[in-house]
Amino acid sequence: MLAEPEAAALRTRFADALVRAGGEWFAVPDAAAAARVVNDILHAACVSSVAVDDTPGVRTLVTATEQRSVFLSSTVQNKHRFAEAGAGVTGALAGIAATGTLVLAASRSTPRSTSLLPPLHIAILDGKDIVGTLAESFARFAAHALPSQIIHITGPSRTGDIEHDLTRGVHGPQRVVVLCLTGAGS
Amino acid sequence: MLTPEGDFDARSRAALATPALGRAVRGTVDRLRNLRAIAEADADLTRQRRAAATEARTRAIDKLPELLERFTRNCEARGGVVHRAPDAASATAIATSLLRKSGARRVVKGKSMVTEEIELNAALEGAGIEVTETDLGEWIIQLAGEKPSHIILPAIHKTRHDIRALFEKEGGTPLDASTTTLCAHARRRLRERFLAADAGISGANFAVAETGSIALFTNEGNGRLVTSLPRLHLVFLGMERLVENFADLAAMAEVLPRAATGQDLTSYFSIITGPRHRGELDGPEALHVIILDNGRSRLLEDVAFRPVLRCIRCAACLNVCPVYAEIGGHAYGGTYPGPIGAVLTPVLRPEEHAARELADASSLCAACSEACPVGIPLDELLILQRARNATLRPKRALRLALRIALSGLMGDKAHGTSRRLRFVAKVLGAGTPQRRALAKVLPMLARSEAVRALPVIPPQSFRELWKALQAGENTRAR
Ligand code: SF4
Repeated sequence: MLAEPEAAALRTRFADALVRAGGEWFAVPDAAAAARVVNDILHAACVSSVAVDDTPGVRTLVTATEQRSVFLSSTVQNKHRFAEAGAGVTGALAGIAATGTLVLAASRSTPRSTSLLPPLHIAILDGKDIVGTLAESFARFAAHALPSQIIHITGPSRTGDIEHDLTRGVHGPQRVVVLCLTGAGS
Repeated sequence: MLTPEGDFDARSRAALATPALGRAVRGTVDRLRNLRAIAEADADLTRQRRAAATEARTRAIDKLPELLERFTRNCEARGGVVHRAPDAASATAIATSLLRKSGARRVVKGKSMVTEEIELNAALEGAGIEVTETDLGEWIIQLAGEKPSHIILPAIHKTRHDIRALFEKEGGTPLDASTTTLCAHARRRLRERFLAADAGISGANFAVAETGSIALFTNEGNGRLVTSLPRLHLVFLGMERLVENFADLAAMAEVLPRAATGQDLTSYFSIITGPRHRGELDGPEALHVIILDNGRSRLLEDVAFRPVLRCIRCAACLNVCPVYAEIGGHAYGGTYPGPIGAVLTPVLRPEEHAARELADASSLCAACSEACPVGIPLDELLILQRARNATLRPKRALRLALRIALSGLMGDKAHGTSRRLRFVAKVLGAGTPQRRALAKVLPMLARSEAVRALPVIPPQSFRELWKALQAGENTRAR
């Protein structure tokens, strides 16, 4: 367990690097605050369909409204459903402070498509899971029990293939928003 | 495949005569070089990172057969299937047969230089399989029917107006030339292909022996789509791209994005270990890794050129090369352009004469070696390649000249020789009567004269000047 000043320093480094990479950062004290922010972001982006990962802390975060349908990504039968969603909400196994990177793993309850096909990706990251470096994040995986895919996400999808003019969202999400639970409210 | 000998010269001339090409390429490589300079600004840290990466790659190459065997075992333990392809023909045959067997008709592809090397697309299309390149730059050049002209920015030579024309032709709708419009068009069109594809084909930046994993560094996200949506995934892996374990992979992640695009890390970095697990609803049901040799074993035996196998295809050497900036990638004629191409192509393709003259595409300024994150002495290898070429060429005079030039580089012992060389140059320098007489009998000399003159030889050599200066200093000091 890190002392709070160290954890805060890691959070700051993570946030700086994330924003440098074109991502967006919100620090929230607890799950209730996270839910409010997530729903506000979805509302502001006029999202009408949301894919949500089936994990504790994430599955109950988004509320359906008259304008917005919500579905659990683990129940999807057809990948077109993800492609039509306006946003995907996931958790994260870890955050890497040095680069502002989210670490996700593919699994039954956390399909790859949630963070990939919709144009907006919102990730809930527990501040306690922020580590300093990629090597530290690697150390959290057991070599004999790796997920089928470990996904590192650093900001939105980007390309420089047209006259090296940097653009976001060519194939993956155009926006990556990280909500970090700081635990300050508990 | 390379075009015949002598064509490098013709291709370079053609490239130089296209000023728009020079501008497009130069502007972009300059930007990439600056981004890298910023990312590597901390000299100590950069040195440490490069040392770690170089050590990891050197160790991997030193025990390559063992690591390949371990990778194969571990990949197959996770449900992958590993194939070894000795050459391009067998690699494309393996892919074609796998796709046919699974009934795959539509393939989406991520960026992969190895598949360019074996000309996979032509082979698949010949077998009636539809292939779509999905990296934006690769798609652009696929639509144009060209080859990549840069390792990481394949369409570096295309302007937005070229791209608009290609997209309008493909989509049948008028577009404006803004980056946003062009990217949105590509996203929409390629999304349809992704969702309809039966198989995905990707390259691999690295393979991890200890876990049997494949690592991919990408920015657009097409790499994730290719490896997540279709039911079948084929990976093409250059035989040398192994690292031993995750710690080494972390070391590579520290240098590759910085050297390539000046990023601390690419937008996406995926580590794929086997096909999807039971119950997962996306990811491929089957994963095949095709390991390509195609001349790499020969490189492993060539002690002097062996360090080339450390290459991680970051393209940093291209971005600093004054020759590449002027002539662009297509002039090199092979799959790999720039300094790495000039060094790699002749050893991968010793039977092709044309490859050897690429060694001449260098000013020997050594900017490439300085830029290389895994310490490949590219400029020294270029000289060595020239020396090998000289022994292959029957012209004795050339051999002699080369030996003198080489010994000149070796330092003091050869000083006498270089003095003699200076004498020869003085006598034969531009404008001397001897030179004019010689030009009459040797048309080659006259031709080169039309393009450039032999430099004027200063009355004193540097060494003489230095001695004189020091003597002066000493007298003054006294
Ligand atoms: S030779 Fe070095 S600089 Fe050039 S592409 Fe390979 S690793 Fe990069």
